[in-house]
Amino acid sequence: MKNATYDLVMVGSSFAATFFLKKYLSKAPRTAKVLVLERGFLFPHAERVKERRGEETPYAKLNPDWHQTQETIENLTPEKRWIYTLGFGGSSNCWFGCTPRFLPNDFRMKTLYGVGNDWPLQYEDLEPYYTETEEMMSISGPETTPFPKTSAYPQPPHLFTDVDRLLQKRYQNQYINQPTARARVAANGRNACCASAVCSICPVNAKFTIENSNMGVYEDPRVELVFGAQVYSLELERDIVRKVFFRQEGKELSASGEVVALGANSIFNAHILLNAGDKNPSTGKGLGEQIGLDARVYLKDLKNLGGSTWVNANGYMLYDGDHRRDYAACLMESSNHPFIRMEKGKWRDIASFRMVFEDLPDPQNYVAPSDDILKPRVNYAGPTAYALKGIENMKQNLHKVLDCLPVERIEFDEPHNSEAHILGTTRMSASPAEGVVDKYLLHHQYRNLFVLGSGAFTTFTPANPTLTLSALSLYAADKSF
Amino acid sequence: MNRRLFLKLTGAGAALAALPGMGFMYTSYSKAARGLILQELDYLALDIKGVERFVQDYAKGKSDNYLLKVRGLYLLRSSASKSKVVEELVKDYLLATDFFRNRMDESKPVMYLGLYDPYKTPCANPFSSVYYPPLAT
Ligand SMILES: Cc1cc2nc3c(=O)[nH]c(=O)nc-3n(C[C@H](O)[C@H](O)[C@H](O)COP(=O)(O)OP(=O)(O)OC[C@H]3O[C@@H](n4cnc5c(N)ncnc54)[C@H](O)[C@@H]3O)c2cc1C
Ligand code: SF4
Repeated sequence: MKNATYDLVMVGSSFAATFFLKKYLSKAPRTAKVLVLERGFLFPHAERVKERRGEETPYAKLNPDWHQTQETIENLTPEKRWIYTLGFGGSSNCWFGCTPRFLPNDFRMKTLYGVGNDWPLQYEDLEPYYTETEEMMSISGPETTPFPKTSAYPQPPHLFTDVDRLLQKRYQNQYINQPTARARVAANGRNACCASAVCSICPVNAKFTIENSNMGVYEDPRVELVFGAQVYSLELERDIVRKVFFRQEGKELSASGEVVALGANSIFNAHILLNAGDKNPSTGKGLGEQIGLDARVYLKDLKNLGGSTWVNANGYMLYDGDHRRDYAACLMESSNHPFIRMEKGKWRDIASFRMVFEDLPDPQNYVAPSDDILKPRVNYAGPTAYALKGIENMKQNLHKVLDCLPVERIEFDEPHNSEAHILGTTRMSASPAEGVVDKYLLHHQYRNLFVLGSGAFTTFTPANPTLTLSALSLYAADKSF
Repeated sequence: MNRRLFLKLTGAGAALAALPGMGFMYTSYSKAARGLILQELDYLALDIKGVERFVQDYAKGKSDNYLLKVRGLYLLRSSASKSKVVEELVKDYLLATDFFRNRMDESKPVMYLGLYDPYKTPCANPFSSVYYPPLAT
């Protein structure tokens, strides 16, 4: 480390961290000193593609691989996986780039539906930051949306399949081209997406990642980026964070900061706080996931052809409404990978929808310290009855929702093991009795400590979290500096 | 050991025990995979040499257990409608050919092109707008 003390010490280098840093740097003086502690290393996109082609790359050994990642936590229910990528850029390296906004009602679940809690900030507060995030990620999206929007998407929408077109005609702004960070047209150093449908590592570098973001954060001379630094605790003194403790190459080190921000994801952020002795009753509690399952819809004499990306569309028909008092909202994703139907003459007379359900934060699902200071212990009792009822309702009603299609039959798969959206361990609230951070993502007790990311979500919604968590980082930094 | 325990312990072996005659010993994976594809797609004009090359290429990334399974399924006269493994095999074969690129024209000969691998040939999703561009309105 170059300095004894820093204006800002950031933990992690993925979405939560990078969007916060971007805004912070735009407001900080030229003399500001920022330290970024990243537990992993840069594994460049081109090398990741090589690895997928079966070629050797020395980078592959730098960060935990898929199996080793599972060993970075003590998972008490290993049959339920928690999926993320560690290293520079975090899960931006492996995400799929689906970026719908939340709906305004998602922020008022208690007032409207009597479940969960209301967020201490509302959709209107976040709207300008959604727009800014969409600009930075060059999001492709439609003209009309089910959520209010004050600006056009930076990129034109992806193309529908023939099936999507029928659904859009029937449902208008409740069935839209998916807003996505998979580029529709080449721009900002990224190529156009061409529906190869292996987005976890895009072969043509079409999706937004921190590495290809061109945000200039890690090139900024005020920023010192340290790799291989695993943060495990904080020094908390009279409601202030003084130091960040980390391990690097087997050595115990620390860094001092005027301000500290955690951007290490919902499991690791909570773990760092708990190791540091944070006594907020909600810290680590309410760990959540959305639940997704695939519906295969067999069609009579209708071919499903022509989409331009992996997930072409989002359907909101089972999303918002009074039913959320009783059971979960569902967001539909229309998939476009090369699935087929093994029947003569009917090869592509089929559609595939991923049905994604929200869940409620449940204290039985939580992160706790373990005997190993570097490993969080993860307890997960499973989805709540609220989510499961949402699934049952969908199964009974999907054929009605699809009544504008010539449906022969619908088959449902078992729910996926994970949606890879880790939520809710440091929830945002109006008061410390109800949550861990305030609406600026500042810890209710430690007023120089930001806890970023989707751990702050007060309730979960069925929509993908990353656009919102990135917008929250911009909002928090803008309002706080 | 009672029968129930036997069945439990042998698991998939139970299916193998039911294989007809001694065929299992003499059937190779290649013959089995080729047979399953030809049976399933008997109404298409497949290039047999191409099927054989596919079957060899496909085996490279697969475990011994998988190869064994394919042999068993062939001898059991399984099909795509009965077995996910057969369905996957036949689907992967078709994706590795020009069948979908030829817009699923069942009257055209089907030629093997090489395993479907987006990392070696990106943008090859045969149902995408690359192959079905929107009609001018
Ligand atoms: C396969 C997959 C597909 C996905 N697809 C989508 C999608 O389409 N849309 C969507 O909205 N979301 C998607 N997600 C979720 C999305 O990736 C996450 O919401 C997002 O990455 C979270 O950002 P983050 O910055 O909070 O954390 P992360 O991306 O998890 O990054 C955490 C960072 O902190 C570092 N770190 C962790 N622990 C420490 C430590 N102790 N000390 C120092 N550094 C540390 C990590 O190395 C990493 O850089 C997907 C996730 C996966 C895995
Ligand atoms: S669908 Fe294909 S081209 Fe598009 S982002 Fe995903 S992997 Fe890349």
